[in-house]
Amino acid sequence: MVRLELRDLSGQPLSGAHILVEGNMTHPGMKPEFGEAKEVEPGRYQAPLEFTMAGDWLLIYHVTLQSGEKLEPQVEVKGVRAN
Amino acid sequence: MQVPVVGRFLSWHHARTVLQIPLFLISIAMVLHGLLGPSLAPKNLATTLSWVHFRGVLVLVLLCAGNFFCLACPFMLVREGARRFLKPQFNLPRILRNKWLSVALFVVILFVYELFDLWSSPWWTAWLIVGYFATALVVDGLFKHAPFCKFVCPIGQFNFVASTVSPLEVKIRNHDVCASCSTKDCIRGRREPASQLVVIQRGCELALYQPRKVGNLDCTFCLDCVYACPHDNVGILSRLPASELMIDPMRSGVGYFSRRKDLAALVIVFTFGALLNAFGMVSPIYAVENRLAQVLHLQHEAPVLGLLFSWFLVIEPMLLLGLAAWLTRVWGKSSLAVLPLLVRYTYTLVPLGFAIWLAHYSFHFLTGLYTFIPVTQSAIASLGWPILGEPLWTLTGLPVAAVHVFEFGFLGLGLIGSLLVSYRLSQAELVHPWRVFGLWAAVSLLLWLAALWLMAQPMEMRGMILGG
Repeated sequence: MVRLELRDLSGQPLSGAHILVEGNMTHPGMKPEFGEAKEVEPGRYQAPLEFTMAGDWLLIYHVTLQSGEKLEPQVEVKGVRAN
Repeated sequence: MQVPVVGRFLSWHHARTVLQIPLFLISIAMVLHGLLGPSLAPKNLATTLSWVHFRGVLVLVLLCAGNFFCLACPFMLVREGARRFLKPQFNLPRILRNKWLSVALFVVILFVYELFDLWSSPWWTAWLIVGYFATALVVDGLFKHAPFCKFVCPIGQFNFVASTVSPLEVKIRNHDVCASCSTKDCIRGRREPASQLVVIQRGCELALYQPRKVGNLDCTFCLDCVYACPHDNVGILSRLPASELMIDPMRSGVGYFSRRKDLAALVIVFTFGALLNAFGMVSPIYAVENRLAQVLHLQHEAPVLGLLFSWFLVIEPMLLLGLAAWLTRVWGKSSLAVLPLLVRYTYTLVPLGFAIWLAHYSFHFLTGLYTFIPVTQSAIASLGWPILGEPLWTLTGLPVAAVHVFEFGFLGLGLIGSLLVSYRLSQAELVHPWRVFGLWAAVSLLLWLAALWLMAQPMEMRGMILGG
């Protein structure tokens, strides 16, 4: 499960956003993983995402705010280990 | 050449150019996307097409046909264009007319691949492609014939070694026809009747005289010999894969395999490099690297990689092959000295070495088979022409479990091939041929078990992600 918190510049939570989480590895040809986020509290979202392989991942959050504005923050997740 | 459609196409003098142009245009697209496109490797044409599709199609074509990638090489298209304006003036110095430089470059490419995580870097991959074009231009711009292909290009050397197990070969149909030929066009080129100084069709630039050419080593399938032959006596013919490794005649443009230490070194890097390259992508490598760094108090990856490369490509082969060669002499009672035995029997490893490359590259190719589609859709859309629709990022390829069957099948075939070559070579031993076979079969078996273990390890992909 990956979690994301959206707040505006004044620190107020941003509700009602549509967020699709995309997980990619560093090697081309590997299948990206996708997870659709649900809002669990105002401004707090979580999405199921399976890290299918050990190694370094890059998460891209495809965010569409209620206002229609689109954002794509990225987060590196290094050193994922196999179970 | 007698196969319908394909044979007719390859008989056409411009077939090579027609094959080279699309690959050249794709190379341009890869370089541009690598330099200007997304820095995430799975979303970039440079990395996706190089490390997934090019490598995968290359080994499968070598397995099923022959060295057709050298035939369609885009570097040579640029070189041919340049040679219309700039004629090379020099002959490559004699000291460089062997495989040592290309062996060193092969090792450098493997090392740089690991050190800079080239698979994860569109930018570095693009510069590697540019570097290849530039090197081909400089070398073949300065020196006559095809020195880049024969003595420099690491991809070419890989293709030459691998194509010794291909089922097709460029060779003559009838020796009697060549025996009565006085013009030797296949090597000298075809000349204008009015002026013998004017060559209207080039002969073999890699010094492979067809009547004495044996096998695929150093053959780029350029088909110059086919076009030059006035008797239509040269073609692409079928043969038993790896059969050329079982014999040791004098080969035009190559010499005797058993006397070529540089060729044996190339085969060693080809085989042990296959294991090393695959090892670089599984979990245990990181534990080994960390342990080495701790024990030796090293902060940077380069010296750790240097140690691993020294072990895999120098120490381990010398120990394993040296021991087998020494035992071949003392226990197998071979009449040859240890070093000539090591050189001679190194060629038994080619089928297995190729199988390891095949298993590794076909894994990435088959599991990522369709990934070029969304990457291309995205690349075209980024130009402002979303004519191919929204990128289908969920497209990948075959399931991993299905591809594993191919991997282990390839490894099995490679082992059989190496055992067959070992058997044929050992039968020339006068005193204890079966002991000699047993020794070299054991070497192949050991490497095969190592490859099986490798392919069964969990993959772990690390590398540069952003800003590469």
